[in-house]
Amino acid sequence: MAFKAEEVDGVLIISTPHTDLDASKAGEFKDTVGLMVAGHPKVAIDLGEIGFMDSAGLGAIISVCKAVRAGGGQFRVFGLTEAVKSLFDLVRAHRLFEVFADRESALRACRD
Amino acid sequence: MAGVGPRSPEEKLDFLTAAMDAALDGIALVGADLRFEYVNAAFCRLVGHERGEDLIGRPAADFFGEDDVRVAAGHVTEARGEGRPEVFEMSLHAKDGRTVPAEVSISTLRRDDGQPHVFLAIVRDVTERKQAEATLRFKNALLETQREASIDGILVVDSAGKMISFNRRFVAMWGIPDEVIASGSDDRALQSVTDKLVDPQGFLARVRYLYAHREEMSRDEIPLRDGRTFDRYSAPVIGADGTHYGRVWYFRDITKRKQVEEALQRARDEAQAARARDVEIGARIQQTLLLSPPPTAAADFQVAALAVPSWGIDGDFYEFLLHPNRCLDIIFGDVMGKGVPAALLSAGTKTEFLRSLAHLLVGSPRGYIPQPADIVNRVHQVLTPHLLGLDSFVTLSYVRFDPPAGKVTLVDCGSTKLIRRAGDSGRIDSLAGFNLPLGVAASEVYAEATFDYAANDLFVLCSDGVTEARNPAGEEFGLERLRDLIAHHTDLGCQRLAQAISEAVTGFVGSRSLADDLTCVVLKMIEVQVDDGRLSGDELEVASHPKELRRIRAFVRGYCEGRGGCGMGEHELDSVELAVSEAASNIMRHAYHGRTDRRILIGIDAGGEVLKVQLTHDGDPFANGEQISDPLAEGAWESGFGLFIMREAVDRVDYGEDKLGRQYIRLSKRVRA
Repeated sequence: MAFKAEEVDGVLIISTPHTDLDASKAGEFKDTVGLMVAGHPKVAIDLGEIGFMDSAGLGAIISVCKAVRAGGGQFRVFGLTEAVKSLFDLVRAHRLFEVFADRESALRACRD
Repeated sequence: MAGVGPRSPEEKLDFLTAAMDAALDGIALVGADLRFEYVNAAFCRLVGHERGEDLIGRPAADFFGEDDVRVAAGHVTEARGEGRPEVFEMSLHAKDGRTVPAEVSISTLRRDDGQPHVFLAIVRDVTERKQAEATLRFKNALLETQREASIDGILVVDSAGKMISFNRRFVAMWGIPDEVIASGSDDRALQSVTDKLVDPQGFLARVRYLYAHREEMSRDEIPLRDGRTFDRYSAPVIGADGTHYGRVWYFRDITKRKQVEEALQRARDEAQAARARDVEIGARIQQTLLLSPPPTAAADFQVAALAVPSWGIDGDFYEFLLHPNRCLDIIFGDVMGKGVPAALLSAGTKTEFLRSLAHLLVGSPRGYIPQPADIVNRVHQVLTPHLLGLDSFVTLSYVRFDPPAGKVTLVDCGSTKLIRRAGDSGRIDSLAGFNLPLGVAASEVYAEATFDYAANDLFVLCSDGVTEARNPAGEEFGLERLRDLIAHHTDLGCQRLAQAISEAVTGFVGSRSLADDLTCVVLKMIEVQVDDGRLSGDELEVASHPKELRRIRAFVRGYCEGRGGCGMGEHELDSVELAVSEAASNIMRHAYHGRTDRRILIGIDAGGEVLKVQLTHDGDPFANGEQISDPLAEGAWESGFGLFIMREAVDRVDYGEDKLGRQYIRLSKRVRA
């Protein structure tokens, strides 16, 4: 997977490619993104291209979140597709990290 | 005769002289002065003179020894006095120095006035008689010595029932009283010993029988009340001319020999009983440990096994291993040799197979089953050095039937071929490899061969005790005869076919006692027609690889969308898709432990008001009804969501095992019909 990273106003925004984040990709996501976010105080993940996510994908995101927070940073996700939103609703993922509808609202939250 | 006799005194004298010269005995006339007055030709021959004239006038004492002269003089004196012949023995001294034993009869011829005129001596050469007497004395002495020196008691009874000879040993053995011995009566002797016998009536009856049947010989053992046992031998005494003189009895005390024999027999009996017990125990061990019962509840095949040992215990063994993925392994082996050593080696070989299998499984992902060749090579590495040391070897077939794949894998270690009868055509063929038996070459690397099979195919494994069985003419039963038999009996089930093979071989050999072990396994693949709980809708079978998850989801979505969403909205369809994906992931990670070469069968059916998706696998089972808690509430962040998501995404999650022994996860979601 080719992840894209950009820094906007001190916030590292990671964009995922168009894919399903399931057990076949979760490991790669966790390893790659984990390296990309290392040391960044503010991280936001764009999940807009994730057509499907299962518990393995969710576990990968949680793993990255924990790494960021372990360094004192902030972690946010945004741009959920319907399928991913269904999963997040199902497991009440908002209790784990902040979820925003889009990029702007996520950056705004980072600035506040 | 009267008309031809001599007439004149001269004629009479000539006649008498001729007559005396013709006599066989020597004749001499000795005058009162004890000098020869006449000798005949025979006398001349006795003393070694050719002419009688040479002796006339010579003193008779010249021809006798000094002692004999005195003896002869005494007899002559007696002859003078008594007037009757005196017979005595004496020795003559011949001219050539020989001494001739002679019997001499001297008569006195008297004048008319009664005065002795001349002595008539008739002399007979008794050399031969003397020699015969000496020989007889020697033989008698020899016989006497033999009789008394014999370890046997000897009794000779004449035809009249009188004891004519016996030795001291006979008397001592039987303890016969002196007065009975003195009487010489065999009857009294018999009566005197009856109280010593265990079976006096039988003893006497036998004696009477032998006396009545003079020509018979006999040998009997006679038990005595005091614990002794006599060996009795009896034979008739028959002269060279066929004259029957009586019967001889030999008695020998064989008490110690009998005791030793009985002790030896007891030891033999005990040893035989011990061996029989060993064989029985060994046979039971073989039946229970070496010859494992074939599986009876397998849905993919029927299988039967039959073993007819040649010596009660043999070196044949077989093992059946039914794996969770429905594969069946058959280890079919034969250790060289027979009896307990072969059985022990079989047990060791079989144990090594199970140990090697366990060794290969340890540390492997759960659900992984080692390949037959890997197992055999592992056993080979461990076992062959020992087999080479023992100078033994093992022929073996390791066969794996894989019903899900429809394949049979064979590692052939010098064993009799695996015979297959095609279920559709009935064609017979033999599957075989080219490996050496185990224990022959340390450098051997065992290879496996894989073949396809179809439902109703039948397989037969036989020991060489089948193909190499020989009939009385030395002809082998052979592989062709076995193939024909299998081809012919298409109507028989596995068990009956195994029995038919056994009966054919024993009938061919012509005996129930086989020279070699007869062992066979018959297996028939059957068409699975059972209610396995499969759904009646669509099916998809995929490998247990995470990359297949997308395909699984696409299959579920495609099925539902093809049926108008099956009454579900997009959100509900997402949930079903998510639950199915979670179920498949769980199977890959937990049931198959990450193995990617296993299979998952996904069935889906939207009949009625419930959408059902069933994921079937051959991996480890999941616990049904396990309490699933909210992973967030438990603080477990990165994992533990799968089961929770499944439960939340659909209405019902069931775990179970179908009738083929496979595990399944069934997801059910109520939909609008």
